[in-house]
Amino acid sequence: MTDKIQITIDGEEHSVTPGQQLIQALWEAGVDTPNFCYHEDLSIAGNCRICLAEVEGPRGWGLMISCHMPIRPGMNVRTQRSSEKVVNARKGVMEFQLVNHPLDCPICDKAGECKLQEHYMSDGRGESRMRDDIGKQYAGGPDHQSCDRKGQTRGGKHIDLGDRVLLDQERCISCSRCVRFMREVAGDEQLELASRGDHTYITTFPGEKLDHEYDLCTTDVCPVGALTGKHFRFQQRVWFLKKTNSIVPDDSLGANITIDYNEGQREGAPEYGVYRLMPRRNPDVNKSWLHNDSRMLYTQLTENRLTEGLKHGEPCSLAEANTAMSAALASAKKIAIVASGHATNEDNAAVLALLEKLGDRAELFGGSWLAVGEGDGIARSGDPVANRRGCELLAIPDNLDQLCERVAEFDCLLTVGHDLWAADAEKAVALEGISERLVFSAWKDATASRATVAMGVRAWAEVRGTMVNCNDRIQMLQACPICPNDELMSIWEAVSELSGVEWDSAAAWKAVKARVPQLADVSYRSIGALGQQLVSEAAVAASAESAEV
Amino acid sequence: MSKVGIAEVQPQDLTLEGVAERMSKHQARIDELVRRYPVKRATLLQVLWLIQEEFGWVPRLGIKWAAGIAEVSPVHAFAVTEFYTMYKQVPPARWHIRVCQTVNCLIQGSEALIAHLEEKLGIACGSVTEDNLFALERVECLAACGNGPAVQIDDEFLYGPEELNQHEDGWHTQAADVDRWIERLRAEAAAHPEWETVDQLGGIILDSLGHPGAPKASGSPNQETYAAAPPAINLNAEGANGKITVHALIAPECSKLVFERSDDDLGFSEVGAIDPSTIKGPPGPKTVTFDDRVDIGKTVYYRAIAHSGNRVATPSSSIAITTEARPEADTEYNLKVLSDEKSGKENGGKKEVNADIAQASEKTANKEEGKK
Amino acid sequence: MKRTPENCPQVLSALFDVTDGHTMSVAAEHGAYSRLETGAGARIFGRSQFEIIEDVFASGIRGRGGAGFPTGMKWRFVPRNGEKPVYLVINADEGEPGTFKDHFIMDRDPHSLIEGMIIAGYALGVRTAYIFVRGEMLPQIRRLNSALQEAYEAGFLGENIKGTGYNLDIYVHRGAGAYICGEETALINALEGCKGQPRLKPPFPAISGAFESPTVVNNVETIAALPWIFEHGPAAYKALGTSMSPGTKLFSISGDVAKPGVYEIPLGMPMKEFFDLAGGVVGDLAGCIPGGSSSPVLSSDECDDATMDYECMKELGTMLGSGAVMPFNTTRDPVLMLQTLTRFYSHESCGQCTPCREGTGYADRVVDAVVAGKGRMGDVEFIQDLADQFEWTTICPLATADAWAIGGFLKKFRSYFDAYLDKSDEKDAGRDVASLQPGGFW
Ligand SMILES: Cc1cc2nc3c(=O)[nH]c(=O)nc-3n(C[C@H](O)[C@H](O)[C@H](O)COP(=O)(O)O)c2cc1C
Ligand code: SF4
Ligand code: SF4
Ligand code: SF4
Ligand code: FES
Repeated sequence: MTDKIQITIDGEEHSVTPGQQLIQALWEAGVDTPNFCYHEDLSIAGNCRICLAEVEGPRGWGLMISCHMPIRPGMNVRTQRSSEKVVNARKGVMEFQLVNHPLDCPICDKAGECKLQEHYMSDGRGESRMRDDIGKQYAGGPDHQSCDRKGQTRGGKHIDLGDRVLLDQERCISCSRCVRFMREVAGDEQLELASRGDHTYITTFPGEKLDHEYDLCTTDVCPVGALTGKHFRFQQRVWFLKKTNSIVPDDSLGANITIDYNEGQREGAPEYGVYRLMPRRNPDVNKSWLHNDSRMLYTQLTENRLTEGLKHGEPCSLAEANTAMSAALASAKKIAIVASGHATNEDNAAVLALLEKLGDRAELFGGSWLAVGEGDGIARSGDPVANRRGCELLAIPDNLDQLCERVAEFDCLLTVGHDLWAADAEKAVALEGISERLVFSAWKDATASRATVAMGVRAWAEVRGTMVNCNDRIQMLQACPICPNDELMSIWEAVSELSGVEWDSAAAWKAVKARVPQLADVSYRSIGALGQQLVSEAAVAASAESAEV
Repeated sequence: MSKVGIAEVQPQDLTLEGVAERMSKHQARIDELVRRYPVKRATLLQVLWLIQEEFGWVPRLGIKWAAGIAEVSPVHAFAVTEFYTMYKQVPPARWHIRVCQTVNCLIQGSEALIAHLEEKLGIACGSVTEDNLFALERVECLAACGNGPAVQIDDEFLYGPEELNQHEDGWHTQAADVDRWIERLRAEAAAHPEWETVDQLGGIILDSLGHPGAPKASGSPNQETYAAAPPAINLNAEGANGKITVHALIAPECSKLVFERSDDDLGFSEVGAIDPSTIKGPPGPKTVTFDDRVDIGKTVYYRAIAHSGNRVATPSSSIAITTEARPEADTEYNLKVLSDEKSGKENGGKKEVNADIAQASEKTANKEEGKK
Repeated sequence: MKRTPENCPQVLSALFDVTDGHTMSVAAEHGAYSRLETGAGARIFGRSQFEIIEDVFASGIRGRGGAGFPTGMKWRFVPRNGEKPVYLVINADEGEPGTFKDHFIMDRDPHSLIEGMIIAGYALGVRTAYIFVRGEMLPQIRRLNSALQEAYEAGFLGENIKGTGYNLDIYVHRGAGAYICGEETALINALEGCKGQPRLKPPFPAISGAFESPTVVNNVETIAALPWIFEHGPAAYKALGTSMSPGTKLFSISGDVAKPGVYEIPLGMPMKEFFDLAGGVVGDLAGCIPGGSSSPVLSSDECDDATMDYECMKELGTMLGSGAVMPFNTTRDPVLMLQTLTRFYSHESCGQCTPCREGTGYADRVVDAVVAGKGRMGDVEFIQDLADQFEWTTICPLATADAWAIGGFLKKFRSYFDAYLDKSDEKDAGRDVASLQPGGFW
């Protein structure tokens, strides 16, 4: 830990983490400081000027932007709490910000989480001094201009910027965040602020589309409703949405997200369900970024779900499926159990417990046939098996191919949340040589459709559990109350029921811990929202040794 | 008065290859531009000028092509084109008349001149005559206020009687002058219907050696040793009662400063050396101070020799100083303090006493300005 | 034409009235490049970089681009002989309304600039130097290019200049129309092929400027004075002008004066004497913009005791700026004058910072409304309040310059504005302002 340094804010001493910009220090000290252009994971542009604070320098007090002001020990700062000058300067900036802004919040998808809206409530002037007889200048780019009923030239509205993103040029506040995102993070400059003065407008090269695997991140960084995702257009007002912290299930980096869902309980609130996934900032994992594909994963939560049981493809109740599975396991001579890198550690611990219970009659297999790609250095490792590292820690072997060679030895196959047929149908076809195929799956996927008995389980957004990412960081998935069938169990619940132990959540976690020495000091609480870095195996071994001595 | 319609005026049959082909005749200048800067991006503005020279304006495909040359993204090049006012993004008129309307020219009659021109050409500012010969534009200060209202036709300033073809101080653009120009240009258009192009880079030199390390360049970097090693300068000295302080100014790159003394300004010998890195202060030149003792009443000469790494500068010019006895100060005690300093012993009163001496010596020090 | 008062040496304007003074042969007759001679008594080559920088420091010359920062001081900060090359960039983006002195130097004495650049380049260890010329000045660019050609041919540029082992290339870079490119970091961006938007400071260009290397940006006039300083010695230069504002300076004077043009006077000269040198004010003096449009206007009373130096101007709450002097007489309408200025600044705002992008435009539209006869009571205070809101709250001083221009006019010519507001009720009182925007084609 680096030592804190002392700075004076509004006459009070505060100790803050060194090496940051003043704005971060102010946040750390609990002083609300507005920002538009500043973004912790982008370079500093310092152009919006809303974060002004008074700083004492060699030539007396002066207004400085706090986002471009590295903190020094002993520096003396005044904020809106003690300085009329700061309050007025911010009012001024807000007033200017609104000069050419359409303020069409009622039809704006950003309303409710728009920084402009937020700050004109808190930092703006009470009443507008803008004169109605003085026109606005929000003409936008020449290719998209239109003329409104009052004869005023206006910037383009809902411009189709690309396959996923819509642009409203009038709402842009020229903060250049999206430009910086595309340039610095995506590494593919497709957006720029063209022209100058109050004619400035955001644009792609005329006639070209915004197209990048991360382009939806521009809608996150955009502090206003200028860039919005088509998938969320007019879907939901954000204030109806609740947020649950989780991680993405389709990549072993485990980008942190929030699942934004609507419970639908309230009168007049639209239907329930997940409306979007948003990146959740974690400086050590995905920063503030999320791959488009991961972001769109929420759509699978309502598609093609297996909400009951299946026996030879015919629907049955969950209870019936359970009975059938128990019977099949009881009568089988030799069972192949396939653990899953797509499931949580808890799920796999339940599988291991079942394996032990079945004793010699069962054998464990693991691994994945999915191709491992290259990491992009942004928010994906390229390995689609999200919990591969967790499986390794639980000592689950990587031997799926062997299973294919040895199908003749088995008469029963059990898979948990692992769509083997979708991963590699050519290889998986060999598994059809095993007569009894028991499948736990959240979807009516290829594997479920080939099951003799399949049982629906909860999907990743509906369960609580842990996964270990490719950098040995243990992170949590959290459950949102949006399961299509409340009867559905998570995999560990269902599997532990099969083995007759009927764990609760604490027992499942305890079972995981019991198997992995690195988890000795880890608890759900210590993992928290941002995950916890595991100590290496060697370090654990070393400390165990020293304990012995 | 807007840019609406830019998309429509783009030439339909132009392709990126077509642009490249038309631009190939400018290759020599493009090669030269690429040599001039450490990064290709820096050529962007100049390449856009070449596009404008070739096409008379900057079509969007031209922007894209320029982006390729400068190795920037097309949208970067587009934003740059939009930022600057002189790149024409629609096909132009043959001659472009710019009239300054900023404050000095306002006073000197720009509004009247603009009104006159609008009438003469039959168009409003911001538009083009029907015969496509003239475009009329209001612009901001052209840095030719002395002849205001300042007028530019294409790239030429009107700043003197046309016949003289040279700048005349205190000459002011008159409506009649502009009229004559316009008539002459109309006559020229009748005589020569084809447009001439003007070198938009103003005749750049084509065979420079280029920026060292730039693509295609062959220029070699400067040697660190092209200039003489930096000497110590501004030597001066002060002192009394046999104690002397010598000051000198040294360059930031100086790594050692040797002080030498002589009794006769001929045979100098080293009396001390100072490592400037021990002197605190902002970056830049540093003042070095050296303390010495000589017999009271004696004239001595000092000079300083600066070392920068293993380069040794020529000695500074020498200065002469004679210390005088200063009765108010206790010389005995003085000497004792100094000897204590040398032996590194702590002395409680040292600081004060020294300060005292310094103060007093300022009053009585006998400064001599170098030697005659 | 007489450009200097009696007894004032022509540091910068010596060649202004010499026929073909822009050519090497004529300039050489007048001593051009003589400072670069090698051998015994060499003033530049053979000496150390340090000594030359300290000479410039000792001359006391201050930047002539507007800020008036001591040039020697700026040079002292530059990390020379490091890993990164040092660039010298000449600011020839002269765009401050009223200023046309650099225009003159490039037109009539380009060799003084080139020689100054060689001196500065040698002192700072520069290998490659650029002259950033505003796009509108193509004829001056041609002059510079042909002067550079002559200098190359004479062996003053290129590799191993005059056998000294020193190499220097100078390139002209044409801008493309943006006043803001005169701000040094915006100029660097424009040089690098970007939009000319000022950068956040720190880092300052002297530490990290063009191509992320130490960069010295100097005005044309600053550099063009160097040959004289090294001819006559720093002490001779320092002896001119006042103690805090040494030397002579070129002043561009235009407006209501009999002989507008570029004059060279020692700093500290009384403003009235300067007016007389320029043929005297035409009509009754009402006020004067003393240092380019960004400097707050002076009333005629203030002009009486003003002297042309940095300190006096500062005391009067204005600045010497780029030395563009613009007296105007009582027949002029300060409201219309301010209108051109607010329009100028909103048109030239680079559009980065909110207060400047939106504020200068809005203030301009309110001024327009006043001019158009649509003003309301309280508009003067409103405009002033808007101006206060964008003064010193932005990345570069452009918005502040606008605020100063507004503040100066509103304070010193208030009654004219009130007269407009009084007329507001009458129909057709003002004039149509919709068509005044510059540009319009592209
Ligand atoms: C908005 C703005 C415009 C400027 N325009 C010019 C200009 O046109 N020419 C110039 O030499 N300096 C201009 N400057 C000053 C430069 O930023 C810089 O101070 C100068 O080039 C430094 O050179 P000097 O020290 O030789 O004066 C401008 C500054 C600002 C803030
Ligand atoms: S961006 Fe949208 S929500 Fe924000 S202030 Fe503008 S219209 Fe309202
Ligand atoms: S579109 Fe949004 S992110 Fe981009 S510059 Fe405009 S306001 Fe900023
Ligand atoms: S003050 Fe104006 S010109 Fe300067 S950086 Fe900000 S927006 Fe650009
Ligand atoms: S957040 Fe600091 S200037 Fe925008």
